[in-house]
Amino acid sequence: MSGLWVHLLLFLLMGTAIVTLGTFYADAEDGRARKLWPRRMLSFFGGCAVLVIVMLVCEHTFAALG
Amino acid sequence: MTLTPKPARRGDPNVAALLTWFLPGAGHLYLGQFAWGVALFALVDGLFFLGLRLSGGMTFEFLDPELRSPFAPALSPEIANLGGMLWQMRNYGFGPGIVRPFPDGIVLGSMLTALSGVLNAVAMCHAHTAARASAPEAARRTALATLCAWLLPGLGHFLQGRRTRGAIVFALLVGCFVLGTVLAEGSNLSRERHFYYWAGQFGIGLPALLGELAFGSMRVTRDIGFVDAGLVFASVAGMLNVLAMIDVYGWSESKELGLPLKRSEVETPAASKVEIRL
Repeated sequence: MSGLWVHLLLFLLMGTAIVTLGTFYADAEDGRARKLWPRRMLSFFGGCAVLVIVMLVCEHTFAALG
Repeated sequence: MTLTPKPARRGDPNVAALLTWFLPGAGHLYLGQFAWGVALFALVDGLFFLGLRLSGGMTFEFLDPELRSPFAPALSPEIANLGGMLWQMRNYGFGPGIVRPFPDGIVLGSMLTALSGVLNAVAMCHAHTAARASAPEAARRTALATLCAWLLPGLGHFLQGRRTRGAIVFALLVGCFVLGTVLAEGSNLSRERHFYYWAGQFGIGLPALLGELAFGSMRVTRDIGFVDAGLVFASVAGMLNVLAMIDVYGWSESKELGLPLKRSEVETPAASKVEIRL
């Protein structure tokens, strides 16, 4: 497995831990936290994906050496 | 309309917690709990000064010269015992400015000073609850659950009867810490090598303490491929456990004092139907 995929997998694991603990912190009731979790996961990883795209576009536009 | 009875107050909870932060036990003396005050002072500052003696006060000399500043040690667990940390900075600081060997007890000593910080944070929780609770057991249960949440991720939730949440917290945090330690090949378990990452992973309690006692003195003789990822995993796991500790404290506080449980601002069907007419 290449380094990129390993790092993506590690990011997925750490992101899941961060979102889950953040959800638990936000809501003390298990039932409500469980309902909240998918939307929080989606916003976190969706937001990260948008950030990656913006960074790649910026890199391609302003910092490409070619 | 029903009125919920206001819990009895012995003093301002914030003042009690702040006093404890500056001097262990001072918050309890302010609340009139003399025995608790003396016992906490003896325990927390006893551990701190034992740690100082074992480490020769050299813990902050772990920091590289370019990282040393008056606020640099603030990102360490000792910050929760502010009086002790300021005393250490005033009397030992970053040493005489020359490289010198660390004493044999430096690992255990610096662990004890950090432990005194965590214990003082729990003492602050105790004082904050004791100021409002009518029964002394309420503050004791709250502080004990918070301490257990630090000792082993998920244990505090488990003791509160929130077993599913406890199991998830344990699996995620201990899993991340173990994975991080495996990725870093154990090199993360040294305060001398990674002062700030160590401070983060100290939040996970026993796994970090036992891991360091078992593997903390190993030598690194080659490049470790995933050391950065490992350090981040172990450190973030520790910091996330602080969130879990706050969750445990908040739950206990709500249950013991009859306060509403913490709820997120989720749009409920009933709330979404509210019309605002101007």
